[in-house]
Amino acid sequence: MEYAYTMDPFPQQTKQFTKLYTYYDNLRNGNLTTTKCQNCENISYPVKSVCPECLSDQFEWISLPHEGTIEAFTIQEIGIPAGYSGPLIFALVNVGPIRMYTQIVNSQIEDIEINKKVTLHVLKVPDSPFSKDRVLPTFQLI
Amino acid sequence: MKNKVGIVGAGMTKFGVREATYRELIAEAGKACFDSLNGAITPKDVDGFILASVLPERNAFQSHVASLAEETLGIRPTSLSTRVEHMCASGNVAIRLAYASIVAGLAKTVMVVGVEKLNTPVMTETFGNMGAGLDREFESSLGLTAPPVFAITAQAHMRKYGTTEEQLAAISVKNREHASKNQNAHFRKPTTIEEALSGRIISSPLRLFDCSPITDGAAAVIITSDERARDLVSKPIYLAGSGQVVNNFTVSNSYKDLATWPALKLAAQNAFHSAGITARDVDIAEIHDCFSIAELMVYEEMGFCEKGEGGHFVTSGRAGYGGDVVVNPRGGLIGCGHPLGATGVAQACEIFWQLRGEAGERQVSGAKIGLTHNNSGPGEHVINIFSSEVL
Repeated sequence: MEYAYTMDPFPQQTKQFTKLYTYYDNLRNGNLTTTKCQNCENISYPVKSVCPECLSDQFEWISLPHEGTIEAFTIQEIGIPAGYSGPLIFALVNVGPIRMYTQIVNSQIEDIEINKKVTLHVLKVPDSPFSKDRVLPTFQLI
Repeated sequence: MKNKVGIVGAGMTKFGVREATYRELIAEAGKACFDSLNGAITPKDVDGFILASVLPERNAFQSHVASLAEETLGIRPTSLSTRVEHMCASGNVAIRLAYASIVAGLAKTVMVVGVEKLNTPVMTETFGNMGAGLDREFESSLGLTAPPVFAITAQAHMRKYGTTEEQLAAISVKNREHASKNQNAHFRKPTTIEEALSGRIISSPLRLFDCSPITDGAAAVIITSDERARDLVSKPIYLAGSGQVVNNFTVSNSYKDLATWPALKLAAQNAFHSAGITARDVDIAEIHDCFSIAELMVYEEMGFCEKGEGGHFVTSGRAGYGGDVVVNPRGGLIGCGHPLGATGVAQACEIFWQLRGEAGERQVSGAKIGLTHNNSGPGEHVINIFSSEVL
């Protein structure tokens, strides 16, 4: 079937599509990063091209720890969208100064608990014709 | 804001898995609304139009939908024509804007229609399209849709306050019971605590009956100035107060304490203040039970009960007929379904009928003040307050 750009569930991750492509380049290299405002030092996640606190567009990339802690989680069994297969484990993970609602992968469902430590797993997702080697940040139990 | 605007007509489609197109749903609700006015207002008398709709681009491959709806209903606006998209809160936001445009003198008579066609033969596509209402790039790209967002509120509330699955099930049982008396509801069959507790897990700890379904439908109201409203109909319903607060978009940036929804508390305080009432004055509340936990949060954050007491509030009957406030007399989203943009408008239809004493089997005796509430996730809330008499 011909590629349908607006049905692609994954982001296009290259310079052609996003000013913040460095986020994906870093992740592809195993490094989870986010943006820190050079003016007010606010750290944002998701990554921001303009600081929502002071509106500066001057930012730097900072590395986040590879280890995080589960604050909350759920196992979704029904209602999984096209392009994914369940069950899916979603967890709110505290990672250094930020938190992210992401997937827990490569882990036994019955082992997931609040306050457990997790480590970054760079999840490979399918290529698009315009964006190869696509990746997303997920975590797995340590 | 004090009653400068009134609802004069209301109508809706049956909610459910409808064998009808997006446009046909608009036509059905619009006709029902005009029919309710018995000729007092015709399409030619409507100068402003707002369509509340969330996903037509993806689920019906159609944008430019306000104009589509106007042509469908024979309306040629001369003051205002627009669409409101605010995810699940679109309907109440549209009514809030209709109020503002009338009070500002921009429009005289505004029709608000809410519509959604969510069911398609490929439901996994619909689930994915629903993810367009979350952060597509950074959260939905991992498969995130609404159930896991509300599931972690439930988990946090259970841990902090000891809320139980039985208490959440009591909300679903109440709303399904109310919906059994509503001919427009998606689900007419009541359920029991036992059946609800044995339902399939959708997103733990939320089970099937804790979740509103994927539903098609449309609803419509006509809003005009209070003076004009009194000239046109014998029993207009007044818009007495309104409030809206947005705290966060992503789940990642949600509240530090997931078991509290401060944006809902503030939106309710603002709405009550603008109407000059308190939570104790509310007779009926049509609120956003997209998931059972969301209704429980409303009891607490709106001030119907103390924080942490929501579970006991429902199991002791205080949220049902004969209680402190009848919450979701039409059956809520759990019973009626949730056709996103249509939900807030259908809530306003129910308040219109209830405050006029026209709700039939569902009538709440002596109801004088009612409110409608939508969320677009835990961080975003809008509330409109209505009264049968000038407050």
